[in-house]
Formats: sequence, C-alpha cells, structure tokens
Amino acid sequence: MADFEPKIVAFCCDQSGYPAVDMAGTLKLDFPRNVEIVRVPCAGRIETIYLLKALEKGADGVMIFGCFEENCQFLRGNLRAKGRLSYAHRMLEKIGLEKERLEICHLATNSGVKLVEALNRKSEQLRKLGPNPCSENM
Amino acid sequence: MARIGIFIDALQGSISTSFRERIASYVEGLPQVVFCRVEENLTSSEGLSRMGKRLEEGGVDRVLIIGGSPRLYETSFQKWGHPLPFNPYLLAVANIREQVLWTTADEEKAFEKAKGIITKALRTASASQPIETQSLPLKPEVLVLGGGITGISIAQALAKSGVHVFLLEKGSQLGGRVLELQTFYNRPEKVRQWVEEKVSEVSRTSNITLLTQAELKYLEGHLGRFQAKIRSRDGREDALQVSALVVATGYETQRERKGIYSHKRVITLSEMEKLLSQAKAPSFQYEGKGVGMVTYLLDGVNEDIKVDSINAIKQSLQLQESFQCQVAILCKDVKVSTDGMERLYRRAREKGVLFFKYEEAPKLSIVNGQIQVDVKDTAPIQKKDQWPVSILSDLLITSEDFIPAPETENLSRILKIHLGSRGFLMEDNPQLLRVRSNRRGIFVTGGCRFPQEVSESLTEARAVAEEVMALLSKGDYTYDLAVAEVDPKKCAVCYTCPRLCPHSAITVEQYAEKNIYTIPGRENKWGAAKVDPAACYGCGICVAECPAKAITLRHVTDEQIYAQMNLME
Repeated sequence: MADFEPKIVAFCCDQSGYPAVDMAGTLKLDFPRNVEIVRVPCAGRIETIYLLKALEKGADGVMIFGCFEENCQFLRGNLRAKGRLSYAHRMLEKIGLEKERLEICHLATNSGVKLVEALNRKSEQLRKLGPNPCSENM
Repeated sequence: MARIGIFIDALQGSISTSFRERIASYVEGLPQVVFCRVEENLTSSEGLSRMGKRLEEGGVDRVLIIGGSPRLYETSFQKWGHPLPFNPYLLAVANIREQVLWTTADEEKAFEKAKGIITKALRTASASQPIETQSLPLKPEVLVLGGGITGISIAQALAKSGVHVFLLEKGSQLGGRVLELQTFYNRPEKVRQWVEEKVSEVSRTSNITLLTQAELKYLEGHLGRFQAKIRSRDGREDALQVSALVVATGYETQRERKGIYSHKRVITLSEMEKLLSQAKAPSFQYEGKGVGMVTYLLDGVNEDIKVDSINAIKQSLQLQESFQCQVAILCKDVKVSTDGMERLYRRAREKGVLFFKYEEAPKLSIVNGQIQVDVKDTAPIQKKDQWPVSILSDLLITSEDFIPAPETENLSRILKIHLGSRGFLMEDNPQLLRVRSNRRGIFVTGGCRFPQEVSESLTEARAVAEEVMALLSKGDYTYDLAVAEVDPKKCAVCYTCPRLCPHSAITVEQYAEKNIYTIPGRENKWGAAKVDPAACYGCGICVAECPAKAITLRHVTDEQIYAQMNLME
C-alpha cells in the first residue's frame, strides 16, 4: 500500500479553478502525481453523474474547484454544484462509501497555493482511506 | 478516425529541446496524428501565420497545441485577430508547461505525465465538433425606462449617435428627483434651469419619442427582439419592438418620524434644501425666527451612501457663507469619494464648519425649545479618548432612508432581472460590469442600481450610452453558437431550466414536433423549452440540471468532459 497514489479528478471552473491551476504552475508548486484536471466553463456544468462516474471508473476522489459563493460569474453556478455534490454525498452514504471522496473547494483565480494545499490534503486523506472499493478495476 | 495536426509550442525555450524531441517522437508514432510541427513561439503573429499556412494545406480535421495554458492561446488568438483557416472549436490544448514541466522536477516522471495529458487532449480534440457563428440584425431602437436625469442623458447621447430612443416616464413631465435639489455641489448652474434646458432639448430632438404618464406592462423576447407592451394612464396600450432596454428608474426616500424626530425643529436634508432656496440673505429664518446654529446628524440610517454627506457639506457651506450660521456636522465617516468633494470638504473646514465623528448614537433632547445634541466625539487619534460635546442648536437636520422606487420589484419580475439584497436592481458584476444586468441587452443604471449623486449618474449614463452603442453600432450582433441547445423531442416541459437560467435565456415556446410526452389527439405544435442563442452565456447550468438530459452544451459536451477525466473505458 505504500506506493498507492490516489487518483483525483479535479473539476476546475474556467473562472477560478483553472486560472488557479495555471497560477500553481507558475509558482512551481508540487502537485500530487495522479491528478486529472478537467476544465469546465462553470462549476454549474458539473453533473451529479460525472462525480459518480468518476468514482465508478477508477478515480479515488473527486474535487470541485469553483468560485467563492456569491462570486459566481453566472450568479448561482457554484451553488448548484454544491447542491449536486450534497445529493451525491447522500447517494454515497446509502451505498456505504466515504463521502470524503467528493469535496468542493471555493477559491479565486490567484489561489494557486490554496489549490495545491487542497489537493495535497485530499491526496493524504485518500491514502488513509485506501483505494476506492467500487472502482471497476479493483 | 480524426486526423489530427499537432503544433508543439516551445514558448520561447520554456520547453527544452530534448523534451520537445521526446514528445515529438512520441506523438508521431500515434495513429491519428498526421503531422507534428515545432514552433519557437506560437503566440506571436509570425508563429500564428505559419500555423495558418500549414493548416491551409489541409489534410487534418482537428488541431492540438502542446504548450502552455489554453487561456494563453485564447487571448493571443484574439489579440492578433488572425483568421485561422479553421474552426477554433476544433482546437484542443495540452497544457504541459503549467501542469507538468513547472510542477514536476524529474524528467522521466514529467514525460509520463505529459504523455497522459496529451492522450487526454487528443481524445478531447477528437470529440470536438465545429461550431458556426450566427448574426442577429439589430435595429437602432432602444427603450429607456425612467425620465430622470440619467434617462434624459442616455437618450440624448444615443439620439446623437443615430439611435431612435423611446423615453418612458411614469409622471407627466421629465426631470425626476434631481428637481428636489436647488444647487449642485460641483456646478455653478441652478438645477431647475439646467434641467429645463435639457428637457426642452429632448423635446426638440426628432430621434426621441417621449412616452409620458405610461408604464411598462409586459416584456417578451431577447436581445434584438424585445417586445414591450406599454400602457398609458388613459388606458391606451402600445406595442414596441426594440433592440435593447435601459432601466433608469431611480430611487425614493422616506423618513420615519418617531419620538423626538417628530419635533418641528428636526427636519430632513431635502426639506432643508427647499428652505435654503426660499431663504433671503443675510439671515436664515425658520418659522419666523432667525437661526444661528444648525446641526446635521448623518449616518443614522444609511451608512454607506455618500449622497447625504455631499448634500450636508454643500448646504453647510451655503449656511456659513451667506447666512452667517454656525454649522456642525455629526457623522460616522465623512464620505468625499466623488469628483471635487475633497476640495469642498476642505473649504467647509476653512469656513468654520465643525465636524464630529461619533460611534455611539448621539442623545437628543429639547432644552428651551432648542434641540440639544450630546455626542461623544471620537475624532482624536487615540480611540479611548472620547470628548463629550453638547451642542444646542436651532435646527437639527437628519438624513433620509433611501429605498428603491415602489415599482422596482414589479419591474424586476417583468424584465426577469435580479434584485440585490436591499431591493435595488442588481448589476451583473459590481466591479467589472457595473451597468449591465444579468440579461444581455438590458442595462441598469442610476439610482435604481444604487442611490447616487447627480455627477455619478451622469458618468453612468455615459457608460450606458457607450455600452449600448458598442452593441448596436455594427448593425448586428455576431456570436458563436457555443451555447446550450434543447432537444425538443426529449423536453418534458418541467420548467427546471427557465427557473435556473441566471440570464433568463430560456423560455417555453410552442415550436417542437411531437415527442413522447405529447397528449394524443392534440394536433398543434408541442411546447418545449427553447434557449435563445443570442441571450445564452454558455455556462451549462441548465445542461447539468435537466432531468431528461435534453440539453447539450455545444462546445463542452459530455464526451469532451469524460475524455478530460481520463478514466477507463
């Protein structure tokens, strides 16, 4: 288990999360190795099924990087994403999966440090939780 | 299988030659790759024209750029304005500079990671579809709601640029609340004269149609095709078709008179403004008696609005200079953040106006028919030093509460634009898009957005005129069809998307052929949700929320997102 590197799918809103990824790169911060960055126009574009599909198809955890509340370019996109996330949380609870595997993180365009911290923390947390048991490749 | 052409952007040496070569030899081995070119600096105009030349030769139907952040290319393609012989939506970017090279020190690991990102990007590129542009003709016709000073200024500016303006006013004459003022703080003119000049100018302009004693009843349609129904006081209804709409309906004030505030020697700022216009130098009379000491008590109701501060300082100068009164101004903060206010404030101090800063609300009492104000002055630098001051004055002037005009709420419902927390109309972005509303083609400005001074309203009016002209001057609105699209066959008319759309771009219309939800025996067209492409911003909230999965976002499809997630098949 020592070499277990959790796979994280990170949905990044084009208004905040994605520029933050660029910022993290510019600051040359250490990313966890196994992160897939997905660029979406707004956190509101992320469907519940994406979160669950990600867990089904091999991801150990999913992060949503969106704008701060009440700061959404499209007014309520991040709140919709939060709502869908809590819906997904309830589903995970029912099937007995840790809900820590899904998380939303609010940040601004210049929060490269915060983004990497969140990813590292998530990576550490998932390492403790172990590999995703419902992944099909188990 | 897609045939993909690859450009590797070295970003002026950010990607080292050896790494570049390894990547190039890797991608050249992939089956769907047609060619792979290395560019020293793709975001320069030369690099771009070389790229355009290679693409003109043909042979590929998708393009992948391996280099920096996609945001970099998007902005530089716009900057150089180079017409690529290629649909920009068929282009994908593998960001290996920010996501790999700058974050991974070990070259072997970096190469592995870069390979993963390139695979992802190739799949995203294969999943992309070309997106065409459309254009919508815009007639130069605009409806302006509100005939206050903001509305008048906008109408004048637009009329000068050749736009036909319909100026709607609920009252019988133009002018609005500015007529409550007597003088400006930063202009020498008398208000009434200045406004009357503007109003007569408006009535002389042939490009402006005045609709007084009328109100907006109903609005349908989107940018370029707004259909407004206007009802006059005498019951007549007019239908207008306009390209854009400006809301400049203004605000109102109110004052609760309770306890000591109902005393006759406590008056409001606007009442004082009236008294000042009637007063004759050299002495200021109130109810037949001379007034020696006047106290202004500000910030009791609105702490963040500077209109009170400005009017109080303007009036106090008049009192000190023309009527030899002593004036004291009590406030939490003196707000001088408008043009010329700092100078006015300094002049007031020089003329002997006293300023007191308070934190605790001052105590008011009546002593021998005069108003006594006890206040703890916190102006000294040391916070703990508080100087108790008591002022015996003949007149106490208080500020009024600013509230949105009573029709604002109804208007926001008719126009489907948002209200802010205090009931004023909400701008799209308080920092960047101050006069746009959440709907394309509708602008909010002036006092209905935030209570403000005349000079600020005039600046905003100019801003709105510029925005409207930027929209209308070309004669049409050209946009990419990178928007949400409803498949009417799948739509169950659940009204989820019209409710959620932040830009009110979705309506339910009867346009669809029959679908599985059609009630048998009904022949007419089936209603389904419809996204207006000119009004859609492409955020994808409706796409994600649609329970029937009837909506797709054309430039970010499910396929593209799954490709980016890089999961097992």
